[in-house]
Amino acid sequence: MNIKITTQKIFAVAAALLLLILYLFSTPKPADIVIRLHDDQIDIQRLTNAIAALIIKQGYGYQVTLVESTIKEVHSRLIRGDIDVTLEMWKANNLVWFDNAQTQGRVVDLGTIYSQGRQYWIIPRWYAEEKGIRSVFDMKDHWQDFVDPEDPSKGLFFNCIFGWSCRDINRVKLEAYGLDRFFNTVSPTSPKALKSIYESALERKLPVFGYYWEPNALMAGRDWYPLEEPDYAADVWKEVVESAAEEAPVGRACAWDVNTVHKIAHSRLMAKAPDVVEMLKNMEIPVQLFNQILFQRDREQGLPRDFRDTALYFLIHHPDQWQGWVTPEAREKIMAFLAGTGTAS
Amino acid sequence: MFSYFKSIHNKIIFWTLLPTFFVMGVLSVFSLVTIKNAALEVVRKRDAEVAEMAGQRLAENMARYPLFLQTLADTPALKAGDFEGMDRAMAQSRNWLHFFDGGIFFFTPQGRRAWCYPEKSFYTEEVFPDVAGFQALGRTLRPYFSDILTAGGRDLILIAVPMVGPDNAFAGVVAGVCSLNFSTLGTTYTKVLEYKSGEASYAYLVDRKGRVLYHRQPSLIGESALVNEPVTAVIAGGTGAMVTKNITGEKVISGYAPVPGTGWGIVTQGNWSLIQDLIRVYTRYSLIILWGGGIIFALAVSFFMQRLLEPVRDLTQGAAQIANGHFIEIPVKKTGDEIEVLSRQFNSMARAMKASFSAIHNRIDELNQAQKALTRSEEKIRGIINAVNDVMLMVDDTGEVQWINDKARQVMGAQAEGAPYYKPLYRRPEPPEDCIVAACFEQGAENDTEIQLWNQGKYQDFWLTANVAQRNTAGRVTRVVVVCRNLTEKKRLRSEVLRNAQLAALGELAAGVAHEINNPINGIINYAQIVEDLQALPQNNPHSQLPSRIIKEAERIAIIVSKLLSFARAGTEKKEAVMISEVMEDSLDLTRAMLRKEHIQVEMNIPVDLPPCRAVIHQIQQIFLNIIGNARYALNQKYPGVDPDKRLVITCSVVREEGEPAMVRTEFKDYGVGISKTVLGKICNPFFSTKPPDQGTGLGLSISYGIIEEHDGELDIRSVEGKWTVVTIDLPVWV
Repeated sequence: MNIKITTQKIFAVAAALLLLILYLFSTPKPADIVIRLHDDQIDIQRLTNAIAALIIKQGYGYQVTLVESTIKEVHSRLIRGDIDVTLEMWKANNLVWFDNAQTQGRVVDLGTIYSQGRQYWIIPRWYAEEKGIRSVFDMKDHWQDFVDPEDPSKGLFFNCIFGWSCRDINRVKLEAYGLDRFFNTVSPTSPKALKSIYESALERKLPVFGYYWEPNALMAGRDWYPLEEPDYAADVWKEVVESAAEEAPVGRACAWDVNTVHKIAHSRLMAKAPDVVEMLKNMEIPVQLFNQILFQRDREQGLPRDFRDTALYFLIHHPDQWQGWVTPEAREKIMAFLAGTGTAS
Repeated sequence: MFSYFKSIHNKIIFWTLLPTFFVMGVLSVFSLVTIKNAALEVVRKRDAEVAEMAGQRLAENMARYPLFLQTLADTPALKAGDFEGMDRAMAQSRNWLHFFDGGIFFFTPQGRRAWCYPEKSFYTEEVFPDVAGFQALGRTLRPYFSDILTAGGRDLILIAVPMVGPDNAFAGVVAGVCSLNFSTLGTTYTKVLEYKSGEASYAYLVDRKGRVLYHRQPSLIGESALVNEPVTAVIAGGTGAMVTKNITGEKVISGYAPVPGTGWGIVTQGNWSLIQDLIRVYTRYSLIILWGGGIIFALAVSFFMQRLLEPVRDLTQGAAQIANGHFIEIPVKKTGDEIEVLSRQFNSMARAMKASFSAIHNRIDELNQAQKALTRSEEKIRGIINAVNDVMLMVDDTGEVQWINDKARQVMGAQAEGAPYYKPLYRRPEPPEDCIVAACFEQGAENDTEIQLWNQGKYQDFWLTANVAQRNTAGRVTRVVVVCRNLTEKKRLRSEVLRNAQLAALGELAAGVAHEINNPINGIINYAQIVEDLQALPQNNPHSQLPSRIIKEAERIAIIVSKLLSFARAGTEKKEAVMISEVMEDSLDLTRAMLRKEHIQVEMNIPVDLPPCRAVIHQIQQIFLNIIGNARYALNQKYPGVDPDKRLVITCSVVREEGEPAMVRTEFKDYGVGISKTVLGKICNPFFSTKPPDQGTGLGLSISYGIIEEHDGELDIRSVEGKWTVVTIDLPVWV
């Protein structure tokens, strides 16, 4: 093939290469960048996501999208970068994964979003009092009250949500406490379903035994009795978590520690939106505030149905909380936006 | 690039491997397509089967719910309308409310709610909400799973079973209400449809209208999924699998199958990218195997080809060596095929060529030696011919000059070569009638004659000889060599010899005359002595001095004669110690009378301590006389009469070398006409003279020069034309 190389062709190719290089190395505008937040349909996470989304959109100009995933899916999707950040990572439950991912440099811990997170097994307080039940070890004597309608030979334990790490931990702990011989486990498909089960059981005064956590609206009252467990011990807990990850039996177990919930981001987010990373690092909400604005208020007013509204409520009524997270420029923009919504009281 | 294909080895490899790699390339593409399609087909079948199996498993699992309801429907209390009894019975099965969270209902055959447990529920409908479903229950008497319904602000489904009367008549319906988002029924779905949380593959469930009954993402439950092809296909009752996009827009492989007994459909979905990755991995493996095999094949072909063509390479290298003149023999490999035969024949050929080449080489050596000898001979002859002082020309039978020697080139010019011979010889457009060259061609005999050639700006006499140089086979002359010898010198020598002979005769005559005069002179002196003695006159007598004057004049004649004799007499040629002052005195004595007569003043500066020199006295005297004669001529030319500057200065001195006397120098300086520069270089040539022919022979200085050279001395002449001339003679000191 005889290709005639002319000066025009050389210039054309050089110009195309230059444009390509400029395109490849040009810094995209924030408006063109989409920040992907993990959404696991947990109320508190939906609220923190809504607050973060408002701040990121209005204060920094980025696009935000929610990626619905269970935490087990997040393990792989966060590492791949399909999700930029999760604002709801219970590190104690995902210790093995987090250590590996952080060692590989795939994820970075942006710090605590809230503390005083608790997990436990619960039964209705009325039932605990009636039966004099105190600890998890008492439950093997009362499985008949929780009989599994599909398998009447055992009781029914409402496990953690399908796709959550705590589901495997609960199995390990049931086994460690010797309760697996007395209880089958069932995993609801969503936090909403589990909450509904508990609410319905309370309403119908049905004995029910299962896993739950706080902060949430259900635990804001005193209707539920957290069963006593052996005190938390780091070494025991590590065994539990590793056994859960490997699906291996463990001889002992203990209670959950009081958890801090973390914001874990994909390492690429540092380059993708460094200002957002700085904001998220600062983002921390006291658990009491959650109880106040999310659970007590909702319980009283039957809200929310839209977490964006609650987020707006938070931004408007608690500026002291969030203004320290953002830059002055972002603060100005968010304030201007809030003034424009007409919802400010 | 093209040099690569100059090797047969490379050509064979190329044309072997080209189709191989082409086939491998085609196979690669084919395998890529095949693997992809096969994998897709396998995955489709697999996913279709998985979906079907999942549907069946789900149906089996779901069967427990209508079974429980059927147990209730078969309860005698319910059949008897004893609803309080039913409440008591249900108190034992309250945990079913985790599944039937909307409650359990009994509908009359007319579809109206007659009983519910618990009494309080979010589901408050009084009639069976699904008319078609109710009719189906009555018609088929089989369990019924509803599509998604909405009541009390919740999406829900009804699972219903017919109550059959004593005569197998439809007697009502027992139904359980499950909310989509809150019922533990979802756990059943999860158990069946999801093997492991966090995995990319999972399944979801849709009702007859394509709304999602169950999905891993709770927010999608209750939403319509009709936009997905598998959902459309499954609600049409189909079973299969396809690559499509899921609800969230991801590319997935979706299997779909109906859930038997429910009217619902199950859709599995696997991450297509994972399958693609697997396809890529296996494709890569197959390509690695394919190309690895191909490369191994190529290497094997190359290896065996190299081995097979090794004798050919030996042949090629051998041929190259032979082409370079090295007649080597190549190693013969016993392959038993044509190549072995070819190798042997090649070696035979190499041996034959070696012998032939050796003979040729020897012959060439001989020829080279002969050529060198010929060249040397030619050079010798050419040297001789060119060294000859004769003009030589070779003329062919057309009259053209074929060759001329250097002398001819000098005399006639280079243009003579190639020209007709009569032009350079006769300077005429055609040969003269008596041309001896033409005669030589005609007669074939040598001829000679005297001609005049133009040489050095004048015609000179030459002796021309025409010689036959070559004849043809018929005997006719084809080449004539013409030789022209310059006769000028010969003629001059002849006249000189003649003159010398005359001079010798004159010398002998002068000697004779002098001898004859010598005797009378002696007589005169003797007689004058006698007269003087006998007739002594007084001193005051004016004649008293006459005898003595006679004696004196006579003695003077005697001296002159004596010196004339001395000059004429052949010397002994023996060199002896000669006092230059004495030779000078003798020379002046011989010339004094003429000098005086011509009014030439002679000044002599001869030191008294001048050492003697080694010379033949009469030869030195001859030189001095010659120089004095030349000076006289020059002075007379300039001053015909008397003039104060008409003088000759003779100076003698000693030339020392390293402080010791080496030479005696004698200088003759006359202030005559001098010698021009053009003439000065020629005056020592024989027969060169500026004097008229009757006054000079042109031999004086030439002979003087020869004599001085013979004495190991030096003769030098310097002059300024019109002013003076100095002749310097250095003679070695007598040791």
